[in-house]
Amino acid sequence: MKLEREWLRGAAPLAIMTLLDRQEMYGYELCTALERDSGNLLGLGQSTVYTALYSLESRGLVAVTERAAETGRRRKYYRLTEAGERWLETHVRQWQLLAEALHRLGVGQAGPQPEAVPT
Amino acid sequence: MSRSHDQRGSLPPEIEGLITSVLDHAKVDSSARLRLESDLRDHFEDGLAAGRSAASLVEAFGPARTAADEMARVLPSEGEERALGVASWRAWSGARDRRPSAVATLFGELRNGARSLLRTPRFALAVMCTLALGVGANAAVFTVLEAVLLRPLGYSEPEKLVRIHELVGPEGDDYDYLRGPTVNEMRTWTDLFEGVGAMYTYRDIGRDLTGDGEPQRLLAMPVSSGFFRTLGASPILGRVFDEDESFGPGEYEGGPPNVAVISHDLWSERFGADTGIVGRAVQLDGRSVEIVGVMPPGFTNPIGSPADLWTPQDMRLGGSNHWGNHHLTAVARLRDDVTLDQARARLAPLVAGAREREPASGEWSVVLVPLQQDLVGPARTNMLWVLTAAVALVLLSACVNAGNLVFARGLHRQRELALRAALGSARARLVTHLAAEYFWLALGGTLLGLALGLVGVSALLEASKGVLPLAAQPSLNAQVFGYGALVTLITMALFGVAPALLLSGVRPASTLGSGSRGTEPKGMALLRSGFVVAQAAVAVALIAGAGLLLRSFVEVRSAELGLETDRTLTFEVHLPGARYGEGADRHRFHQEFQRRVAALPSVTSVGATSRLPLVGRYHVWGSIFRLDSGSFEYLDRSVARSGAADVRVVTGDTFRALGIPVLSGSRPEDFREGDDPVVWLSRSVAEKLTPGGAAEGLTVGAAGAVRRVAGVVEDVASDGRGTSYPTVYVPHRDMSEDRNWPLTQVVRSSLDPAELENMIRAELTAMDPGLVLYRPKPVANLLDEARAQDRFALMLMALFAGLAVLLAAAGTYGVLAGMVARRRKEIGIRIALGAGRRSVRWTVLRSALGLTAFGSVLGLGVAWFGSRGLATLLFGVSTSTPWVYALSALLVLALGIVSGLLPAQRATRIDPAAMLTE
Repeated sequence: MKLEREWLRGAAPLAIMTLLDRQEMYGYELCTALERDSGNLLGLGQSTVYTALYSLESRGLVAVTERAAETGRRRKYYRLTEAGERWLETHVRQWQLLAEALHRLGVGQAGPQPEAVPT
Repeated sequence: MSRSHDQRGSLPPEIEGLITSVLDHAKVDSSARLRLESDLRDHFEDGLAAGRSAASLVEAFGPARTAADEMARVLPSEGEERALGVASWRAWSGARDRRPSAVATLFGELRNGARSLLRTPRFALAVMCTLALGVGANAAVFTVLEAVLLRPLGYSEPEKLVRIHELVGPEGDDYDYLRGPTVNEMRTWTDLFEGVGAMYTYRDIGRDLTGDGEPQRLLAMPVSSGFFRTLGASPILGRVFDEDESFGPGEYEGGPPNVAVISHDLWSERFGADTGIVGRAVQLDGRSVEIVGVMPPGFTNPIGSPADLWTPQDMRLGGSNHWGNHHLTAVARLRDDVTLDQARARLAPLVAGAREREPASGEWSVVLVPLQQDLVGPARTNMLWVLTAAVALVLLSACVNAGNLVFARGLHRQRELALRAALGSARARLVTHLAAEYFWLALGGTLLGLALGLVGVSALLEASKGVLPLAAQPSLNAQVFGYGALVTLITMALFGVAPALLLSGVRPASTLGSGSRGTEPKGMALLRSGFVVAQAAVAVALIAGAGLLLRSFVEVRSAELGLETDRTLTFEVHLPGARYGEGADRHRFHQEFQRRVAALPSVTSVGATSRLPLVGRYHVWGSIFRLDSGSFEYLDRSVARSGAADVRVVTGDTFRALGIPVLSGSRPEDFREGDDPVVWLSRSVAEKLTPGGAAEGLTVGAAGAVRRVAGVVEDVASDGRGTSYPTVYVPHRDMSEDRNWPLTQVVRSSLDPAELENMIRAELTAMDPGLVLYRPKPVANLLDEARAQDRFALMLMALFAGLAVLLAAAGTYGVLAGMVARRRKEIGIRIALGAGRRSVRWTVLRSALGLTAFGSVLGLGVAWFGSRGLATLLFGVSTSTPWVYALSALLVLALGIVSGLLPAQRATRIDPAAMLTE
């Protein structure tokens, strides 16, 4: 099953920032990492990754540096800025709160058990 | 910026299609588009390199149109992106529209332009300094032009003020001063004038203020009672003169009523701004005079020297106020409902009526000249316009030079511009991009130039002493700044927008397809050649102008003055009427004083005169007659205006002290008390009286008496150009009772003037401690002042020509150096194929010569045209002096060769081997 585009758009920034927090990456590398580490969940709509990157860059949360990779190709590497690190901290916390709240509502748990019918 | 697509291999068609589709749908500026394309290509190349199929990559990317919309909304804009380069893209905050607003774009471009210039400070400084030279010189000259010609005089409604001249005689063609009865007549012309104000023409009336504190020599101006009202000026304290104080009742009595209006300066400096000053009596020349009013600060006489105080001019008929005495200067204010033309038209019948009523008034008419025009005069007006035109040419040359620098740099950026154009950047956008940078250059150059102009103005003021009229006080004001803004606009248009338009017209295909070095489009090469031509033309024109003025100044310097100007000190000693009331007392004083001064070491001769040479006409007085068969005869009008000559009252050895040759007859010192009245004639008077004969012994009527001609002296210059007028010299001995003559002493000595002055002052104090040695000045300084205008025009023109030469040299060098740099390959090949160094050098020099020659021809045309404006400034030299033009053109050609030498030398040093392997 694939995520719908709307879900993807909401979750992508947090996912990207989480990955970039581990190490700086270039565009395609980031797309592959998302695909791989999310169990191919984000495999559809890689353009969304760039949209998110541009938006994060505009807001000063990621910075971009161009340099040669080990293969010799020049690539643009994205990394978190200090503002980005603070943003990630806040949003991870928010995500946790949201997840906890949804969890308390029972979202994601097994559905209501049918009453045992005496046989 | 990452490598762009022209250097990459192409991608599979489905990927290319996707990229094209995204780029087509993303409506973003050229810079964002570049970034987007680069990112997409990186992405797909990485994917293909990782072994994925094109189809799977396209699928994983998502729908092109949605992606384009989303990306376009968040992509960093051009201004942001270019500012610091890829390495440090800075985010901008908040969400944006798909297209940045025009204002945001503009600000982005401006910020971007400033940063770009900061990265190339030497270039920016060079351009700004070049512009500053042009703007600064313009601001300085315009400041003076504005003050003298454009700014209204400092009186209320100055455009209604006119100077009145009289024309006398049947073929009167020379302005004359006014007669008392004429002014009285004009007071009745109330249909034309709101008021008429008369001033005593023989200005600089010195009066001694005594009483409280140090005795002080003051300049007093006798004026009629209408004077202040006509100029629209009111006193800040007290009153001005009332009608009776000038116009009667009664008859002329001579001496002014004992009242005075004082200037603001005198009031604040001498009287400590005492508000109770009105009604106070002060001692003027030993007479008690009541101060009746104080004028506001800045109020000054429109004509003549600034006055410390004003006294009433006796305008009642009789005495000096008769139809034969032209001694007044008048200003009138036109009625509001009368224009100058109407006033001029209505004058004739009024004058005709007056002449009919007063047959004794003779033949005369009246001329009205706008006051400002009268004050500045045609020669000065012409000079200022010529200088303004010259300085505008300097600005043009500076703009051209700046444009040249900008182009040279622009060529290095052609690839960048071509890439932008290829990626769809609209031309307007490219122009904005370039113009933003040039905007800062123009602004910087202008501000720097205005600062330079401030310095220039004070230098100009220093240099223009005695050249500009009294009422004009150059200062920076709104008009000057307005002019600065105008110059900025012109500057920006000339060198900012024009190059931007041209550079933005690059053709992507040809530029991107060429080698690594930028090539110059044909139009641009032509334009840069045009720069050299224009600069050469400007230089030739200005050098020719300066050459003509220089030639003229040489003529002025060698003009016959009729006197010796070296080693002569002049100064005034004024004898207060209270202590030297009788003419005989005054004459005795002068004789004794001159005897004492003559006894000082190194003093060779001492004399005194009522008016020095070189300082203009003065005291045109009395008619010269020749006693011929018992009848008097008027001198020819072509010799003596109105049949009159300038009168000089002299005492002592004046001719020798001033170095005026006595051509025949005796010297003043040969005469003693009690001899018959005598007179000396200047050569032109004598030649007219007795053509070819000896004038000595003739009896003539001069300076109010019948006198015997004692001798003939050389004509003496009344200005710095050697202009002389018929003059007669009468001894003070015969004239001492006529009035208290303000004599100027003249002392010839080899001593240093300052040392001599001290010794003379000691003698003066020993004779009378209350006397002042006033306005000491060597005759050489008088001459300098008399030639101030000629020197001023020459100096400025030479300065501008020098600037033009510098700019032209820099410009020619720049263009040729650029040409050599661009043609390195070609020159290298030619050298490799065996071309000699000499032939290579000649190629470059030929370009220099060709361009400057073309410019010289154009410049000669400009000079020829402009010389017509110069004609009135020239003395003893024709505007069509061929060698001046030839020399100017030769100079500029030589300049072209010199400027081309370095680039030519560089061309011969090109190493073909290194060149071909590049």
